[in-house]
Amino acid sequence: MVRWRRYACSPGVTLVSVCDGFGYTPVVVRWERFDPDEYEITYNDEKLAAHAISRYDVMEVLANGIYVTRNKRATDRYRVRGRTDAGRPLELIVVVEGTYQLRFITGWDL
Amino acid sequence: MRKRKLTDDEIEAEILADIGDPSAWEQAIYVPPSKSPRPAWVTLGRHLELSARFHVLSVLHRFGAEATLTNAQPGNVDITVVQAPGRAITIDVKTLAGTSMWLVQPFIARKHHYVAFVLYSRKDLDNPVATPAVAVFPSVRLKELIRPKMGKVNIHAMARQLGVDDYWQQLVAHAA
Repeated sequence: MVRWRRYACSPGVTLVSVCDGFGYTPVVVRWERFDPDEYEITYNDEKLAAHAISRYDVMEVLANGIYVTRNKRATDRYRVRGRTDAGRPLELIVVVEGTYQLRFITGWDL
Repeated sequence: MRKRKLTDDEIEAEILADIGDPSAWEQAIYVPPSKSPRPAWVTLGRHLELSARFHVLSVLHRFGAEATLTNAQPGNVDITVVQAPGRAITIDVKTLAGTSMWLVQPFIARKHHYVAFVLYSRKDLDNPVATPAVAVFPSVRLKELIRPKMGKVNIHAMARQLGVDDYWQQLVAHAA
């Protein structure tokens, strides 16, 4: 049975409607207010390492100002573009796994 | 019915299928630099990386090698050791903190190029005078042991497999 409910709004996350019947929970990040410090961030270290990207690189990119593009088909997936402290331009793929939960699954040099 | 959670591989495949299609993506938004201080583990990690490079450089100089740190040098080169005009060996320094397992990253394998692993034990992370362990491998021989999608490798096991005993002597002998 398809049932709709409203998620309570919390700082940094928009109010969304969730359809239980399909099991898909599109939690949307308010990127304009994004602060990496407020998020629980996980990493696919192996996939990132395959492109010589470390967790440090990811955190530096996030801290240095980023351009974020959302996928239209799966709205919990984003491309994040930015630079490390050393100026290395990277594109990172991030999935929103829940409220204040991000997972960086891969990335590459631009 | 609840939809199965996709694996990272499956998500990556779907992303890669969309990557060349501008209509699959919304307009980019700009997120300004963060005002929060960086987590301690990030700053500690970066300091350790630099410390590791200086440690290798320091030992090479103790052996009398003409070694130089090469910041911002592309191609996984952190240190060069000049042997003669036009001849140099290069070293890629990898830092491991609290572990001897290396998450395999792409690295260049060529003649006269070495990969040095600097291992900081967990108990010595806060001890600036503790000397880290170092393992140095010829990049070509290391590449022969690394298989695609290997994940993590144990540096000590790798040293046993490669039969490298005296890490510094092989470097200094090569540099002479």
